[in-house]
Amino acid sequence: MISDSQSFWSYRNYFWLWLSLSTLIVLSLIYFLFVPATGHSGDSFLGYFLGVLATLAIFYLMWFGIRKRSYYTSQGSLKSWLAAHVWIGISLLFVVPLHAGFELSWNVHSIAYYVMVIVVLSGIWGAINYKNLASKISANRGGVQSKELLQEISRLDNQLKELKQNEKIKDFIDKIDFHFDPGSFLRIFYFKPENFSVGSIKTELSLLSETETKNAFDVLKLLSLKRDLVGRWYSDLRISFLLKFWLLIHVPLSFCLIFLVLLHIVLVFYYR
Amino acid sequence: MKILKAIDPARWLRFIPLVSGLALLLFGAIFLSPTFRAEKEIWSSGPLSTKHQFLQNDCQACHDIGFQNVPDSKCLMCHDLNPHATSLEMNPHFEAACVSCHTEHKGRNGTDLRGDQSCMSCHSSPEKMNELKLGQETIQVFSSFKKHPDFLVSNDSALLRFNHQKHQGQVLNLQAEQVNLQCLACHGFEVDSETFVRIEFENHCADCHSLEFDQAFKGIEVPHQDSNQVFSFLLNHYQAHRVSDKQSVRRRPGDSSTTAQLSSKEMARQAEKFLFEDGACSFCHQVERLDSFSELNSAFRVVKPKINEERVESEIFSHRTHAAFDCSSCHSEALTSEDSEDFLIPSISECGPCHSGDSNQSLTQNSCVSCHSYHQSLPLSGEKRESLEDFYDAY
Repeated sequence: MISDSQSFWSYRNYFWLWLSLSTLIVLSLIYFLFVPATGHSGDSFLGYFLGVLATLAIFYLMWFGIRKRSYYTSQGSLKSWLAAHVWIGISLLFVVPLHAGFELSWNVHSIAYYVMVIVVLSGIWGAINYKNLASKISANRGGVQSKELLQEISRLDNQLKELKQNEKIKDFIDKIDFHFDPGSFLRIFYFKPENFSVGSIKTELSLLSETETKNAFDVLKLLSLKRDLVGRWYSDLRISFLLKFWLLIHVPLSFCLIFLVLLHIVLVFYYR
Repeated sequence: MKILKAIDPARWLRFIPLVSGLALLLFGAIFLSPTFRAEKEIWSSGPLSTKHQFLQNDCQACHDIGFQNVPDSKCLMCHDLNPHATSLEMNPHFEAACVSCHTEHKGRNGTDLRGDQSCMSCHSSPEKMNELKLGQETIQVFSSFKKHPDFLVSNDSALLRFNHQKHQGQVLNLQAEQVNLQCLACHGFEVDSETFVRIEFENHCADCHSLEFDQAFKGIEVPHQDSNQVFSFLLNHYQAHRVSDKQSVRRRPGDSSTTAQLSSKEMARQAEKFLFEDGACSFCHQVERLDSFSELNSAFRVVKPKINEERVESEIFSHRTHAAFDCSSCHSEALTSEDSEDFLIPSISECGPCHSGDSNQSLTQNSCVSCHSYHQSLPLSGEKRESLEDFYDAY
């Protein structure tokens, strides 16, 4: 999706980090220096200001979803947008408590913040995954498409099937082959090629004739290839999963957040 | 390949709109569910103060009309205002509503004022003070009592002559017994252990100070009252004794009763002069001799002393909370004071060691309102109290 995806954190020498951080410092200073008579809360002058700021920021962050899809635009580079999206999103974690005077409890107003925290944390998770995994995905595939990995595995399986015509080799293969389920969701997390060792095959080999032994070694060669390919296949799935799945939390909860923020705004002005 | 599609992460992202819709519906359904709607605390922006707890399930009790501040009239349904607040209310420049200072939904002590900014927003700005027609004198924010102006002494012109030094330790009472006088012997606490017992001659002085007026009538004292009442007591006394004298002696015709009355009056005038000019009264009181007075009234007037009354205006000071200290640790001058004009209230610098620092964080109270009342809440009037009690009972 984004080329050179590792550098969006540090885009333009961490421009957006420094901007967010300095804004936060200024806001905190104002917060601690000017305490309203009735204590800090959303309905003080600073509270309203921070509330408006945070709401605008949320809408700006949501706009990223639209910007991401508009390929012909003059709104600045996507990387710049992503850097802003990440750092402004993270700074919201601190701006909103300043807005609320750190008074959070279990009510519809605070829930908006908690949902925002989940949205931001899922976003951070996604961004970290981009940084760590985006480069690994092509390295893992080794220059081939993920579909080709699967085709390669089924070709190896076919070769093994051919060798199975011999009864003894069939027994041998059945003993040491492993079942490959391309759709197993759990395996993408725990499949490790190195865990699939053949074990002791001395007895099995001693029962075979010379040609059969040669075939048995072919089987071993094929299996070791298959094991590595399966490992790469699952890694590919795992990386794709980590790169995409968080969006299923991030985006729907963002829409909920908009709903909750609007609810919060209407409620606080209705019950003034 | 079918299984493959099912786990292809790119395919899951197609569900984002569906999941978003479902999540929104879920939130909407939760908020609109009857159980959730009935739980008023969830909709409230924060817990109510302890005093308003009983209202926490009744939003409409205060929030009458949507998108409007809680009107003062809602507060005044229960709370009475003292004259200060009422006069501020009438000030055309003062438009602050109750809720502009007393905010709710901020936890247990939510309606209490926090910090000094409420006061300082006007009192530190000459322009603002002028605008409010409160004069131009301003005060600064005090971080410690060292910077606070000292107590203003209200100069009492009419005082009781009193020597604190002589009223301490071993003294003799009228029965010539040794009595040990401590501060609390006179400055005793009322049952609320907050206010002091009003000092009365009968309770605090009479054990040692006699109001006898005539050597011939030992043990008889005038009442400690208004000079006219004292005079009429004396008049009655001498008349009565003249009459009782006459009862023993046979009354003869021509014996004028007026001479008897004149002499009892003379006796009374004499005794009065003794009391008010030479003796008991003038020993402590400021006494004025009147130029003209009627026949049945006293020729003297006692200037009413101010005892045990608030000498520092607008102060809220609790002796009870300071009861751990000796009287003399603050009122040290009381031990050596010989003159009743001595101002025995300690300097404000004595408060500093405990009452300083940030009023929001300090354990002791340091904010303006810890001592100065803006408008004290009055005890609820009978009718309002009853309606409030009914209100409580309903919950």
